[in-house]
Amino acid sequence: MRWWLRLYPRAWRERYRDEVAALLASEKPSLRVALDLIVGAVDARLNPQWIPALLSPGGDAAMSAIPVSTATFPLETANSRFKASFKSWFWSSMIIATALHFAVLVYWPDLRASDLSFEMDEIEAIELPPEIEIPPPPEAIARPANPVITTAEIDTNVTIAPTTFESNPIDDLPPPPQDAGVDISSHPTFTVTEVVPEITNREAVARALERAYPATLRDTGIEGSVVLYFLLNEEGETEKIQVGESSGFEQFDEAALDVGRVVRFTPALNHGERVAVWIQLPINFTTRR
Amino acid sequence: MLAIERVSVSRAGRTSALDDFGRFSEPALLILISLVDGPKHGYAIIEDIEGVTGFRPGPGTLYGALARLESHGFIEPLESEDRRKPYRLTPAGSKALSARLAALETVTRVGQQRLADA
Repeated sequence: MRWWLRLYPRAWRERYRDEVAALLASEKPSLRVALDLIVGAVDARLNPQWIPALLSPGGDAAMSAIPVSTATFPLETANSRFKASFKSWFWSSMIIATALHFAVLVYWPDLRASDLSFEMDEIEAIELPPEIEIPPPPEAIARPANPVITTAEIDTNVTIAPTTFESNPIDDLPPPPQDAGVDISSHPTFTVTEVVPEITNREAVARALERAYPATLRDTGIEGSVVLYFLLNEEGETEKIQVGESSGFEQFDEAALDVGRVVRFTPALNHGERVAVWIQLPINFTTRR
Repeated sequence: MLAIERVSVSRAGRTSALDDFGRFSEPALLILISLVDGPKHGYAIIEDIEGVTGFRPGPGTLYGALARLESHGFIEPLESEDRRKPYRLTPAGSKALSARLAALETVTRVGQQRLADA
């Protein structure tokens, strides 16, 4: 039981320890006595002004009970009060905490940490994919496992009649298709050629291209590309020009048509013969030269 | 009992410094009473109080009250060879005790009077 006297402040212990120790020697140890000592210790720390000074030969202990701090801090502030009392509060808290633990151990000796702790089951929400119905597999194609034997009678002695001009006179042949005179001028179309037309005046075209470039667009750095469709006759002369793919700028389209009128071509050849043909030619207006 | 006593005494006129003792005022009163018939040390005081009231104060309570009484000059320790110091009632202590007992007597009388009237 003497251990509990350590909870008391130093001044108290110097004054009373021996007395109380002697008293405890004859006192039966019990929880009540221990708690009483704890309460007393808290009181002694919170009210240190009631602890008498050490016994002096003169014996007037009451005179020296004046707190010393009043001389040290003539102006008492909250800070100085806190500094003076913090130790008391600290030890009081320690004592109370110790007492609570002691009480818990005494009154619930079977208490385990597992009685106070608990586990939490965390349930996680899982996004399930939507259920889809898997279609049944297609049925096997009905196929005869065994060859079907026909019942039809086929005569194996088949004779094919000879093919002769007498039975197929050539005078009765239909006229050959007149595809040579097909008019392709109405709309652009593909014509079979062996030799494609070539541009004969590239320099003139280049000059025309430069001349026709719209000044406004060139100055603003806008470029464009127009695809022209040319209809050339058998002599390679341009019969028709039309815009195939527009540049998006009407001025470019007009300029490209101007350029197209300058271009001269060689005629296209098929089977060594000159044919009329549609060709396409891209006209590119670029600021870089 | 303690609370009633305190309230009543303060009504009676705060004649005793024992009012300042808070929860130690009753043990302090009992200590003073036990010291009237001669100096006693702590253990003897406890035994005496238990013999009178049936209540056995713990050592913490006893010495909390003893420290207050000594600071107020109501008791004084005697020099002793033994570790156990005897305490003696001072004149101021006996004066405070008689004032306290007088206040209590007032309370007792009023209480009994009212009980009789009821």
